[in-house]
Amino acid sequence: MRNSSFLSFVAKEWRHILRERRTLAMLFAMPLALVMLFGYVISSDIDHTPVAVLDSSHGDPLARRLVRKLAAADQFRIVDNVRREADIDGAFKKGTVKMVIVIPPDFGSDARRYGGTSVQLVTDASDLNVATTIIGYASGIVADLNSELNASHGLTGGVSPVRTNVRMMYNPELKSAYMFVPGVIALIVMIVAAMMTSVTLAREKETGTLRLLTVSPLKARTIVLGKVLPYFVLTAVNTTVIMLLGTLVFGMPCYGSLWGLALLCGLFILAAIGLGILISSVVKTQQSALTSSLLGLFLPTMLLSGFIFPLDNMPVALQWACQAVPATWFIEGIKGLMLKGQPVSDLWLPLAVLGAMAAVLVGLALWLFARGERPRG
Amino acid sequence: MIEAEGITKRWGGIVALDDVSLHVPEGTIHGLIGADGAGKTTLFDILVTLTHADRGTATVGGYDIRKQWKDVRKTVGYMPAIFSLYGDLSVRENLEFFAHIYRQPVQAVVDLVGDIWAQIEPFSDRPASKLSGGMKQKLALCCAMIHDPQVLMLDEPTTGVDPTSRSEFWAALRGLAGKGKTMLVSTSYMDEAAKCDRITLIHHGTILDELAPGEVGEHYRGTLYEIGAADTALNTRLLHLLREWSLSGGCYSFGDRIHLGMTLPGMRSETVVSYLRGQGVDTSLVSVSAVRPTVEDLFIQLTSGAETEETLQADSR
Repeated sequence: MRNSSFLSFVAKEWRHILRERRTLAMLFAMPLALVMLFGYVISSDIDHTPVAVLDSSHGDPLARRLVRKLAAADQFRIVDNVRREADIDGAFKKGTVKMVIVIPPDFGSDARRYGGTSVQLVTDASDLNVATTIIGYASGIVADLNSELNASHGLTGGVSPVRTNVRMMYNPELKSAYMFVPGVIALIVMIVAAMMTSVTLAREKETGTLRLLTVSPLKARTIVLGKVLPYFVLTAVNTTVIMLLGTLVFGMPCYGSLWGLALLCGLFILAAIGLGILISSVVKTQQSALTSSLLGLFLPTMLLSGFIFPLDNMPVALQWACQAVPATWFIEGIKGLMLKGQPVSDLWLPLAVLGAMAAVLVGLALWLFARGERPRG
Repeated sequence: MIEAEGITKRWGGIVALDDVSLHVPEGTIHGLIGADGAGKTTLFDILVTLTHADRGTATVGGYDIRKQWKDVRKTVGYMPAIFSLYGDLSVRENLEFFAHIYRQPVQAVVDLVGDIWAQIEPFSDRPASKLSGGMKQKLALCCAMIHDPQVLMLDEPTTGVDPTSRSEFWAALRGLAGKGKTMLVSTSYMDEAAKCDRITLIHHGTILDELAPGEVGEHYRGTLYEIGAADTALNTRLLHLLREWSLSGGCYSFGDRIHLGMTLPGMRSETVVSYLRGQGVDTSLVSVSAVRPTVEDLFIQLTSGAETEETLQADSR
């Protein structure tokens, strides 16, 4: 029988969610807006990218052969505005060139000798996606040249007369645009899970229905868990949609374990819902629930999680504060799993911290509501 | 069924209830009459065990509100002062939800309050927020009745409800009292006092009086005169003159008439007429007659306040 009142509470909660069309539309428009954001940030259009050749070999035939091959590729357009090494910086800053291929003196003769030579591929890594993509193409062309050279000398594989030496400028840490995605997911989970849970509970307070629920035989934990379950499912669906769009449409990598990812997201969502319930237990109106969620959850999630400002550069006191923000651990976990491909066992710390946070927050929420069930003083 | 003794409650420094006592026997309707802010809702909060009293004891259905609050909640059907159902759920969904959380079959409500349910059933698919005021309150009553409570606590159930629906609502309450239900009903409509078995007048957290509606005349001190002018434009002047009269025991407009209380013995309506004539009023245009005081007159006399007169919702006409 208890089960039946829990289920009807959850059914009621679903009706609230499904009937609030505007909010529901927002929940599904948000991932779409996000996709457009991805699309803008992660542009992969690299046809006819301007590249320059800084040839110090003074017309070596092998060097000219390499330049011809580069010029023949659709991806590149050779421009002629880098004459000296000192020009590279200026060209990148003006954006007239995305990559400079530096050919050393004695290029041809070194290539024929044992040990070979190397070309340097200098890129503007402030746009890391473009940089890595064009380096990929350029290395492919060099590899092509190598196999042609080997073939003409009757060699097979293994030896590279021309090696590539990549130099990324302006972004030594190689921060990828994808690094934004975990932060955005963290924000959306905060909106859907924490804010909506706190607002819907505040609405029960504001309209007085919570008084009726309090005097009813419904247990406080049924009310709390009846709120947690629907919003957990809703947020999980939303998070999945974002992840699918990110990986399928925009090629965001996901190297790590999917189960680990699901566990990480699940724990973070629970922690967020716990925060939402805690907020609703102190506020009286929907409006103040909204404001408190914005100030108390959004700002820390944006500013103190490594999403916008790197943690390493913060004062020590703030770094401590960051450790208390669930999103910090979530973002660390997501980066490890999706982008770095770390095994789940390497991420035991973020998982354990998020698990502990979820347990403490939901536990505290249950305790507060159980206390509120009794007559107040 | 409801026994409260010396209930006192402070909110911060403000005394919301001061030594309030109530005795409501089984199967009766007890009215709690007072203006907004009189402490009615605080008393309900204490009796339905949402709030603890600072001092005083009470039992509801024989259960102590402090020690046996869980049993009290099972015994009581509660209707809060503001409409507290889910506006986005339909009438039927609201009823089903409360039936489920009280673990009752939905059919139970038809057996208990079939006549009220019959009035809202045609709208059962309508969202509760789109119902009229009267329909909302009937639905709230159905939801409060779903677990067949012995005691009903209805906080201002008829506020904002049209007169026809109000009398239908009171007829339903009377029917429930006939089935042995005990009811505490608060209202700020003085005319509804007559529908109760007994009433308590409450003002600024203190009880002014406790009586049966038929006893108003005995509780009223002195005689009440109703003064009507053929031309109501004269009322302002009459009010002014009567207020200056040293024998007046309180005078205020009552609809398009004037009510004048005379607490000194041996007065007659002629006394009033001769005073007015002495002040130069053409008394042929003025009627003065002794009338039976209403609950409102008693209330005004007890609060001795022309100042509270505006806050009372005299809706009897």
